[in-house]
Amino acid sequence: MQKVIEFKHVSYKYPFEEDYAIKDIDLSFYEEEVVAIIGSNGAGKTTLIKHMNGLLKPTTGDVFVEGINTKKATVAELSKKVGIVFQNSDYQLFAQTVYDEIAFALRNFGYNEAEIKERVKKMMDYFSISQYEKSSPILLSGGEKKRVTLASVLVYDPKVLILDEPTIGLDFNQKKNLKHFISRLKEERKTIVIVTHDLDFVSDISTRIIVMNRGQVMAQGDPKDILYEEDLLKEANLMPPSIVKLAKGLGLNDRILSFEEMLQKIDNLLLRNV
Amino acid sequence: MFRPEYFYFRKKDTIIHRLDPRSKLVYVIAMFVWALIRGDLLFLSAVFLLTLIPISLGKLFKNLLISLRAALFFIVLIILINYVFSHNLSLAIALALRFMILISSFLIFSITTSPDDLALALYRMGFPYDFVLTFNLSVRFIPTVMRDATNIIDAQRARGLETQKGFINRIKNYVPVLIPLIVVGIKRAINVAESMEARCFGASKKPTTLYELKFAVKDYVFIAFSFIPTIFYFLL
Repeated sequence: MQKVIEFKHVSYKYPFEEDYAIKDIDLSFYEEEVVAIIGSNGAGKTTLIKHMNGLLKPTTGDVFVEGINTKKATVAELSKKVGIVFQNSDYQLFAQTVYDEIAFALRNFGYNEAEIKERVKKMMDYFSISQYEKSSPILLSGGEKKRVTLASVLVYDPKVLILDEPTIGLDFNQKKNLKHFISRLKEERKTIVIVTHDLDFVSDISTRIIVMNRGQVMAQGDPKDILYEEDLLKEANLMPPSIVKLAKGLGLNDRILSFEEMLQKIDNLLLRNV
Repeated sequence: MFRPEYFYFRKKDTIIHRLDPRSKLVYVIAMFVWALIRGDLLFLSAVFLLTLIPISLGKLFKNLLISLRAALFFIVLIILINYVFSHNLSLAIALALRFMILISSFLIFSITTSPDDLALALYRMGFPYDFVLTFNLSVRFIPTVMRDATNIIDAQRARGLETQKGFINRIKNYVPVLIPLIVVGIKRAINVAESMEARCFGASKKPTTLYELKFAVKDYVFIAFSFIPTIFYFLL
């Protein structure tokens, strides 16, 4: 797999703060990966992702996006490759219509109107928001706003998509749709980075989990190895996902993270006891 | 680049931060009077040097330098205009010093006084509670609005918005920042109002306060300090 983003000994300190928000981070992100970055509040997750498109430049160390040092590129140049969907949709919605909101980035990047129209229509169909084409994005519901913000970033087809706390404010069905959508993006060979507290959401879709605590990477690896390490999660102030609690409650030795696998296992247990 | 965090209250444990806001208010008014009462270089230099003592005690040298740098354009302008019209360099510098005294003394008040303490001081000075609360909320929300603005700028820059290219472009490009900022601000204001009403705001015309302000020896010393320029006034 090809390396897309690389952090080399990256530390960052906000102006006026005594401590570093992130310290000596060495990380790589590859094509076709779904990486979940987990950690409690103040662990440095958002600071880390803001380095991926140059919104923050490292105090020490370097970040490379497809080999380009972020210190030597503008945010606009890097954003073509790395799209970030921020947690609060209200922070980005401003246009008069949903169409204009989705077209905003394309206009900034200098696409012609014919191509903009084609891409925006495609995105509106993809996210089932065509009926709101002429509505104000500010007046939509929380889930609809989230879809508009996702569409407004995906419309320029970035290679890496970063989702900052994507499940906040979403109901069960919306979360299910988001999961489905992430799987589709993975099939399109994109790199998806999800920053979250919601371990239930990322337990079965991520291919790698990075645990952050106090600005440092505590651990990273296969979700099955990370999410079954109760002590590790406790140290990072995180609760194991429900499926892990269930597996441990049932006394299973297997490290199961998928719902279907768990159903199969319970079926087998019940059959054995009949 | 403009960094708002250099201009609003930040908690620190220094003697200046611990002073009663009323004594700092007296200091600011006194320094304003001293800055305006005489216009000669020697007197104003002495007053300016005097304001550096509380700046040093409050560990605010960095803030002062940044504020002076931000005001550098006006300082140079004051010197130039006054020199051109009066051909008196010492007068031109003295008038710039007057401006610097105002900055230096007001900095002590704005950066070391928490909005809560200031509101309490105003309340105790007899201002109506509604007025004090409105004032306090508007001051307290400055950092929050700044943080919102930073997040919004980040979100829009991540979609290719250039905020640093040319003056006209910069103004035009602030529309995608201002609209979300206003929307988020109104939403927050509604939430705060509802949450205050849910906690019986307005039930009593004269609510009690959690803390009481008390004048201590250090406050009297600081007020006395504010009048040191009286000596300069007669000696220099």
